Amino acid sequence: MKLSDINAIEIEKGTSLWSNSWYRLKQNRLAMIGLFILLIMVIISLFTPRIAPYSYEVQDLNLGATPPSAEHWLGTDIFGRDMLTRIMYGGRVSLAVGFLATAVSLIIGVTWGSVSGFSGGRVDSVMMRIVDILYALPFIIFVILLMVVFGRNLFLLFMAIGAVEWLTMARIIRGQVLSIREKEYIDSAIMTGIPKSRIISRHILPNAIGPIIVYTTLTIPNVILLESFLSFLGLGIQPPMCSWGLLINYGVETMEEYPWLLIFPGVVLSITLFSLNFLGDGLRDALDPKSTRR
Amino acid sequence: MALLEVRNLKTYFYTRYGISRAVDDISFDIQKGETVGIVGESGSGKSVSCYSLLRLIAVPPGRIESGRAIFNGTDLLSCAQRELRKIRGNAISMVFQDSMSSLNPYLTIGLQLTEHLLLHKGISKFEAREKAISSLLEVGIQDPESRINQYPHQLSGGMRQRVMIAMALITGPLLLIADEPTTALDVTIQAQIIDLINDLKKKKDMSVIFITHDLGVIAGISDHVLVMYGGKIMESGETRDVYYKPIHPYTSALLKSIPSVEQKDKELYVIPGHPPEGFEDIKGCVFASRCEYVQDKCMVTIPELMEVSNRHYSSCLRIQEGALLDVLKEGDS
Repeated sequence: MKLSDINAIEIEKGTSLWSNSWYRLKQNRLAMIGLFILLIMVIISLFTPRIAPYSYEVQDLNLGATPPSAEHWLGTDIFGRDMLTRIMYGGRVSLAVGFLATAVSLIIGVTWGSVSGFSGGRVDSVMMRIVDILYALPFIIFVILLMVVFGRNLFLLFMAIGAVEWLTMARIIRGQVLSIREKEYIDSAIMTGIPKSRIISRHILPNAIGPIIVYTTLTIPNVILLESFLSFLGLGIQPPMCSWGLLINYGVETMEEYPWLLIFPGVVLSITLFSLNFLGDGLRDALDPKSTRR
Repeated sequence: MALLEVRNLKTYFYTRYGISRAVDDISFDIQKGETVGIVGESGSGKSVSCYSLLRLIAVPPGRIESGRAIFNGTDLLSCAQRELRKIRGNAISMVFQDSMSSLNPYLTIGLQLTEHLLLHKGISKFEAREKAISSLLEVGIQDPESRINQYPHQLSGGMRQRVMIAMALITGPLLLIADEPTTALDVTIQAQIIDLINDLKKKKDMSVIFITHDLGVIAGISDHVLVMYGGKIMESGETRDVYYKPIHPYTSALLKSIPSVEQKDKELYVIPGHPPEGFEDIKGCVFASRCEYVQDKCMVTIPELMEVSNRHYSSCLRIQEGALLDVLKEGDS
């Protein structure tokens, strides 16, 4: 026992996984910067209607596209609308789609994948064949169908995107669960008579938290871009409302004459995605109790 | 009445190479308060037979073909899942081989110790915590108050195995199944763990099934020994009888292959050939192809496990005829 104690010299005083993780996350400067930027983005989005300097829809055709100036910090678009205002409003849509659609895909994908992977055998085969079939279904047709049946609204857009994005998540989670359930500690948990649902949620999923977080941070930008694609087809957000994806789309069309229309929304989107990735990396390390980064 | 009565247990694995008869028709009893050692080389079916008892084998490819395992009046092999869950971790506990991987790296020691306790016993979280602390003390872990907040990677191998034992014993089981609990540990820790299991067994009056391939370990801990080979029981009896008066050529050969300090100049005895993989269709005795005393009838008749002397069983045809008894005894001395 004397020798074995050496291993445990550094005794952490933490109590729960969450407080330990928060402690470790705070040590990671990049992740904290990412979190800070995202929080600011979210706060700005929440209060946009009150703090936006101009209206996002009123056009001033006489003004037209102007480069950044004292009145319009980020310039105006070809209809004379203030870009700063439009980016702020666009952020509301893009962030909402990004977080909500990802949450939808996360919930469905994690549940589906973990049940499938843990059950194995015939249940697994059937559940994964369903995923394969949905994969084969063209995404656009699926979304159009949804829109036609339920009418067009923002909430449905989240659902539609989430309902497509969960497929990959389910596959990734299933793969993880398949390898984790072979571990002896899962046998040992089954052996102690713990119900299946609890084994999945308490014993398996925490071990898959790394891939889940990494894939989530990859899904959010994906979803934001998907939304702009749908809006471009007229299935998503309708002008004069806008989203970052749409602004970038318009910006691309006129980037030779009015480059600021592309640069500013592009920069904002990139900053958001960088922040997400840094935060995701930090979270993955922080949630691993074995992590040595402190 | 025995605490656990296993009758005609057969577990087969259906693989693409054919049917593997991992456990082929074994029967044994576990008495209350008794330690039964199961020995055999890798692949002899010792772990699979215990996993089968608690229906822990993967189905498919595995399947429990037949058999009964009556534990306290319940047939473990045919009862409902719900009933089985109440027995697992409560009346029957298990300690696994590899302490390094048997604790969930993402959960604290305390949580893993108390989770099934809360589930089975319906006590408060506070009581469970107290119980976890006392059970950690019982298995010889110092400073349990801070240990229960730690994660498995902060503990050494020996301590983790102690935690595993504490976890298995915290619900006060009637039967503990220890599947090679000392294989992953070094020799000094191994001895400590064996002493610990022995002490706790006596203190709590529980039965233990101790699976190992180490004959020395078995000698130190068990009252009764089952020698398994190729999914079948070759010999069973009181530990002393099996060691000093083996009545199966396989047991005798195993005992001869233990390296000994006194005979360091002699070449170590090895059993020729390989153990069966279970795919072969063997018509006679599974050990016949490697046995030095094999005769023609051994190849064509499947031997039954029969009582040769008092509570000492052998499945060797020739022993049952009364031959070889003296030869085997000499081979051991």
